[in-house]
Amino acid sequence: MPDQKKNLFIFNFNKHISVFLKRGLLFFTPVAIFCVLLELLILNTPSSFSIIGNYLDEKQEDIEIVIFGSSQIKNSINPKFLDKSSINLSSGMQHHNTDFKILNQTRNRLKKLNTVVFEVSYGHFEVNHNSKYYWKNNVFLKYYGVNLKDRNTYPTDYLVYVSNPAYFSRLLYANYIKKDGSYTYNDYGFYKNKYEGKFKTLNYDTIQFSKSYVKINRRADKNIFKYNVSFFYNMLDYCENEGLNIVIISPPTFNNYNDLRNPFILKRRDSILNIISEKYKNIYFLNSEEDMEFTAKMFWDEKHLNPDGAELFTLQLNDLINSLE
Amino acid sequence: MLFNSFSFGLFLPIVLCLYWLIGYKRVKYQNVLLLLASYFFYGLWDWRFLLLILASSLIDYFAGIEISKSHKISSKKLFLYSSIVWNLGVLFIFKYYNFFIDEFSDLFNLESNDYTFSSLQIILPVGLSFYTFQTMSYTLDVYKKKIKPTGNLLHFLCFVSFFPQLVAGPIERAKNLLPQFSKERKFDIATSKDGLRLILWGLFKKMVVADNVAIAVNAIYLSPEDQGSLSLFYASILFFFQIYCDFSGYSDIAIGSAKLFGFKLSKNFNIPYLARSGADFWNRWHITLTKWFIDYVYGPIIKKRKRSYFTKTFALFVSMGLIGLWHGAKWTFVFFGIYQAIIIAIERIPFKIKGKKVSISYYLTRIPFAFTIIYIFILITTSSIFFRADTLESAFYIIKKIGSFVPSEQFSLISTRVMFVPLLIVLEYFSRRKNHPFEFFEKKFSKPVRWLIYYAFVLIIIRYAGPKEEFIYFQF
Repeated sequence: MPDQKKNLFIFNFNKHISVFLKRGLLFFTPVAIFCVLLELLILNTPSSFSIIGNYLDEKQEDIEIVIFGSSQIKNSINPKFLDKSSINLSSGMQHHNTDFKILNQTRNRLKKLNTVVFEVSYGHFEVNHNSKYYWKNNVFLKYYGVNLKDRNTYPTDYLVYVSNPAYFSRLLYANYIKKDGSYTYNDYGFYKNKYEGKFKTLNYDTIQFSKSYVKINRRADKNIFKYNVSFFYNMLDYCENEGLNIVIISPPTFNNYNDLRNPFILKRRDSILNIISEKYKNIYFLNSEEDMEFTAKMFWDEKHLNPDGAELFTLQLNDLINSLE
Repeated sequence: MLFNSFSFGLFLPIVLCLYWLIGYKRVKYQNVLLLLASYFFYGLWDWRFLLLILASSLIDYFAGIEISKSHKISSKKLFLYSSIVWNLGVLFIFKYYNFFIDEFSDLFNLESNDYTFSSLQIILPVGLSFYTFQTMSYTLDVYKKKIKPTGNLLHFLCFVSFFPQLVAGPIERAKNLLPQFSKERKFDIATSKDGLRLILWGLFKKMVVADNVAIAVNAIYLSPEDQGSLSLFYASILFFFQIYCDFSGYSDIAIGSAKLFGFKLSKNFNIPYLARSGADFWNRWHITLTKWFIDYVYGPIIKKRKRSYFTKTFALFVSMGLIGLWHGAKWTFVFFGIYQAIIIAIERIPFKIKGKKVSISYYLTRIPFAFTIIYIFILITTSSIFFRADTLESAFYIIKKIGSFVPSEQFSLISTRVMFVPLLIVLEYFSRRKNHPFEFFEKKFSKPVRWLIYYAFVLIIIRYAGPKEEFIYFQF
């Protein structure tokens, strides 16, 4: 064995280490190549995020309305039906802390922004904010240029596939193997063909709906509520200082969902919204939770609209925003 | 820096290459590198808490030397108590202060604002309970003359902060780990290979099993009021697998990483769900913590008294209560410990059959495995409920609901989130006499087949890794 004390060159490993490193390289090189190819493939596959990111880059000088929220808003607002230039930056499980960071970090780019739309649906104040491990941190950084982390970014923060392998694997499968058009979007990143949901499976039969399982949070949490409300006030203060109109929306939900809501949660949310309406001047509300105009055939499941429902709800929002002038 | 992050994937090979480039004969420089790497590793969480580690290390290092030097028992005790007061004081302030203040003010119905001592707005340093217990055991062992104090500060700093086990154990004893910093550590290809395999197995357990199961468990535990008995029972079993894979996955990666550097860390898990009794469970679950409490709490209590069933039970309750409290400043954890103590105490009740002194645990080791596994899973499930529930009230509510056989709507036993749990059980069962399943494959399959298996696991991790979650035991 060579005396390593005498020689300290960069490749001064002993024989065993060299063998180990060579085998390690031999094993990991195909893995690394596979990962790189996977990442390149996903970057070249259109996703809602990439389309919205491109739209944000191209139209940032013109955008007047920004919409934030969770999957309920993602599925219920199609910016195509809004008269003013707008962008829907909502996504599944997205909460107010993420909304606020995106707004904060895109505000300077959006010179003409005058209206911000926030979601306050039934359980919004009772659910924890997104954690620091929220998988969209990487996606938003890559496509929107928004850093949701409370630290400087590393190169690995830009990797997309690893942020949610399950989601992006489904996307790849749908695009390159199944090719069924289930992941097709319009120019605003809105899912055009999102009809194949629970309600369609049940043939839009309301009797079947009432028998089916409904995922709903009925648990009231005082601490989460207090924190979320206080955070929401900060968001509204920020918007007021920026001279922005604020629209708070509660998208339609179907009867079988509405019937299961915890009245206490509903009551304290509404009481907060009442206080907000008195405190802020530039704030407007659109609550369509129990709007009977939305029939079963407009829903994907009990709390998400399909593209037909989205058209109607977006037109309602459009009327409200136009009336602000 | 999390073990399941890209940062660690870069950090580990870089440090490893530098470490072996320095060469096994330059132990001092290797140790300096390990210390810098460990502080860098920890500092990425919050560099301010490095000062706390450094302070703890220095206090215990000098306390150890002074205990050894002192001739008077009173002086030895003074230095020992100084070390213990510091360690427990830090632990109390960061981990338990708010809990006790809140409980105290609740007891007298006071709002914390009206009280002289108000809650502190502080964050808990990652891994505090682990390294505090490790350093405390050093001074205790020096005092008991089980070990001689080290005169090398660098070795001691490395012992306290060795990055593979710094934030979530295994809780090492100075007797095992400290001498390894003074010896030459030669590179061994078989050990290193085994280290890599352990890392792969640990990543599978954490990223594929634990992080996916977490989603299924969280969905059910989010609102237990809306769940049926079967769902809650199932979620509680799954939660056991979540914490088991989360924590043992971490331990595997820690032990595997240490092996790459030529270190041997203690085994921390031994397939706990195959235990045959409550006591056996604790010989298989978080083994280094159990041993710590046996040596420094349980042992000393029974040593000073008559070894009767009552004394042993008293010691058991104290130890298990403290083990519960070690996990966190919550009554649910205390009850978790007490519950385990009750089970073990019942198992140990002595009685005579045909003149022979026996206990339930005696029979548990002799009845068919199928019966003990039912017993162990009931034990695991109820323990998991206390571990997972936010409050004691919530835990009892869940137990009551499970026991009341409320039908579960839309209950599904199988989903993609939990599909790897059976694979884990099968692999661990068949390799139960080995350290991990990949070691079992070593004897069974040829090299190309083994490589295919490793690639399959890498692909499973890439494809099925759940949303990234912090290791549960970091909060302890």
